[in-house]
Amino acid sequence: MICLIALIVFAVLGIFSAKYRKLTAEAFDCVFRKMTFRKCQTGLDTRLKVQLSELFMRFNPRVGRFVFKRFELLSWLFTALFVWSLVAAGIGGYNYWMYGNCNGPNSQSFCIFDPTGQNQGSSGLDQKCVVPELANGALTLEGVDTDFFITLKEGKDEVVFFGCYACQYTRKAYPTLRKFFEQENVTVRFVPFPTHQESVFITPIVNCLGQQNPEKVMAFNDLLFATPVEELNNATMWSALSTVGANASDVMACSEKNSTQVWSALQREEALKTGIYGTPLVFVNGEPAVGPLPYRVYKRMLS
Amino acid sequence: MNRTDFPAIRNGIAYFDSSCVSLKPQSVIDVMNAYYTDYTACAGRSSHAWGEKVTAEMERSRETLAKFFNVKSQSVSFTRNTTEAINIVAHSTKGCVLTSDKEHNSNLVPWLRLKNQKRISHFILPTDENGISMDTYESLLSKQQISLVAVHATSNLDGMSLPIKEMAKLAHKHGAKVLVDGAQAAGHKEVDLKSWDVDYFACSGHKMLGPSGTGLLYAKDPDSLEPLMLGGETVKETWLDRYELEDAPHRFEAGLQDYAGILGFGEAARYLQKIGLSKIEKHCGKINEEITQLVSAHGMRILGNRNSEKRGSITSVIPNKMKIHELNLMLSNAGVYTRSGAFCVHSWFNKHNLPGAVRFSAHLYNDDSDVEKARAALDRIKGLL
Repeated sequence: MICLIALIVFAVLGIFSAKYRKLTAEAFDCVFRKMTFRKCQTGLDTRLKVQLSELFMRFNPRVGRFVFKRFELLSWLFTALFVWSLVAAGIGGYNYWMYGNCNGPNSQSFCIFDPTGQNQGSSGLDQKCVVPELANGALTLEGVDTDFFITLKEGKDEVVFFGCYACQYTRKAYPTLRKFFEQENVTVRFVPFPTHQESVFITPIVNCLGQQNPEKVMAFNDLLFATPVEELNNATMWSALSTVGANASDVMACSEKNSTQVWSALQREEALKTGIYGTPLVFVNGEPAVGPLPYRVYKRMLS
Repeated sequence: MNRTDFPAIRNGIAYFDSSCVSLKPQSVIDVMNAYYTDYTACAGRSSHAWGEKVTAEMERSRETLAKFFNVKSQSVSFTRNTTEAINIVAHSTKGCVLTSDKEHNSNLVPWLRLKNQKRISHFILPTDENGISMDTYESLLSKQQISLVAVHATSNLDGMSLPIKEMAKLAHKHGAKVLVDGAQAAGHKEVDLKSWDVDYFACSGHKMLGPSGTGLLYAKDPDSLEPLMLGGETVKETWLDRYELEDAPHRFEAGLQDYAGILGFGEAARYLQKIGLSKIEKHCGKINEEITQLVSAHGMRILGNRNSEKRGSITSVIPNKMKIHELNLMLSNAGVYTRSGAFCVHSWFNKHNLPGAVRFSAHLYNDDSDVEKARAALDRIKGLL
C-alpha cells in the first residue's frame, strides 16, 4: 500500500525535481501491478519499508523495529488517512469555491485555502457591549418584516445586506458587494446594524435618508464606507448628505426625532430575528452568507 | 591482507559481494590506465612501437594466466566472460550433456537451448549439502552415455566445491569430456588444470580481481572446438569464396579485443600469484568461518553445508522473518554490501521452492573489521531476522 502514497507524493515532488519522476514511474508500476494482483517488481516497496524503518531506528531502535514489523498495517492505516485527507481536501476545496470557506457556509474556523482569513470574520461576537443579544442561532429571514429595511434597488433576486459602518469586515466586503449590487439584477435591502459604538449614531440618520431619498442611500453608503472609522462624526454626516444631494438639515432633524429612534429600534429587533451574530451578513434569496466573501459566492446564490 | 591496495573500500565499506564481482587492486587499475594513457593501439596488427607493446603485453597476460592455471598459453583464449567461454564449447557439443542441479544460468541455459533444439540430451546430477554422490555420477556416466560433463568447480550459490579431479577421471574413463565452470574457484584457491586434467575450463576476470568484460577459455584440444564468432583476427587469409582459420587461441578471439581489460586481467593474476592462492584460500576461509558463526548466532538458515570449511568463501543465508531483499538493504544501509536474490541459479531455488538468499562472499581484502561491521548491522536488527 505504501506505493500508492509514494505514487502521489513522488508525482507531486516530480513536478519540481526530475529525480522523483523516476521514482514516480516505479511507484506507478508497483501500484499497477498490485492492482492487477501481481507482485511489485521494482522493489520500491521494500526500499521504502527499509528506509523508513531505518529512519525511525536511528532515533529509537524499538520504534524502528516496530515500524518494520507492522509496516503493512501502518501502510494501510496511512493509506486510509491519506484517502480520507484527500476526500477532506476535496470537500474543503468544494466548500471554498461554493461558500468562500473550506469548512462550509459561514464557518469561522481556520481554512488552509484562506490562511489569512480574507473571506472570514465578522464583527459581533466580540462586541457584546453593543449587541449583547447576539446568538449563534440559525440564520434565516423567515418571519422577518423586511419593510423595516431600506430598499436600495429593485431587481429579480432578493439581497438583504446587514452592515455596520465601523466594522472592518463590512468595510472589507463592501467593494465586492457594491459591484455585486451594480452588476446583478437584484433587489437590495440594506439594514444598518451597528456592531461598533462609533457607528450607532449613524443608524437613525441613514434610516431617515432611506425614508426621504432611498435612491441616495447607495451613494451615501459609498461615501461612509470610504471614510476612515475615526472620522465618522456628525460633521462627516452633514458633508456626506450634502454630497449625495440630500437635504442634510431635514435628514439630521429627522434623525433626532423620537419616532426615528423607535423605528430604528424596531428595525434592530427585526434584524435580530434573523439570528444575526455579526456583520457583514448578506442574504441572497434567503441563503445567508457571513463575512467578506468572494464575488463568486454571492453570484452562486442567485437563482 | 593488503586492504589498502583496493581504493574502492578506502571509505570503510564492508564489501561481501565478491562472488558477483571482485574489487580491483590499484595495480590492475594502473595497468589498464597505462594502456589508455601511454600506448593505445591494436595488438597483432600495427607494427609501430605502441602496437608492438600491446601485442607483447597481451601475450604476456596470456602467458601469465596460462602459468596461473598451469597450462600452455596456446590453449588459453580470451573471452568476454565465463558465459562466452561456455557458449563456445556448447556451440561444438553434440550427444549427452550432464550438469549438476546447481549450475549458474551460464552453464545451464546454453544446454537447455541445445536440448530444446534437439541437438543434445541433457541430464541432471543431483547435489545436496554434502555435495554429490560419486556412485550416482558414475551411474549416470555409464547409463546415459554422457559425452560432456559440464559442472562448476565451486558453486556461486553456497560456495560448495565439486571433486573435479575425481569427476574428470571418471568421466574420461567413460569416454566423456569435462567442461568446468571455474568462475567461482579461480582466484580463490589453487586451480591446477594439468592436475585436474579437464578438457575445457572457463572463468572470468572480474571475479579474480580483474576487470569486467574479461574471461578465458582453456581447451586441452582447441581443434575440437568451432569458433562461436568469426571475423577480424580469427583467420589467416580470406578470398572471396573461402577463408583459412587462424590457429588457436586467436581463432576464438574475433574482432578487436578489450586490450586494457586483458592487460588488467593478466596483472590481476600476477597480483594473486604474488600473494599466493593458498594464503588467500586460508584467509577467505577464516573470514567465512566468522561470518558463519555470526549468522548462526542470529538463527539464520545457511544454504549448503553448515561447516564453513566446505563452503570456501561463501555463506548464503535465508532469514526466518525478514525478506531477503529487506535484509540486503538493511545491511547495505549499514555499509555492509551483500547480494540478495537467486544469484542466477533460479533453477535451484525453484526446485527447492525458496525465494532466494542473502549471500556473504569474501575475498582477500575482507578483514575482521568487515565482520565486526556486519555484526553491528545484524545486532541492530536483532529480533527482525
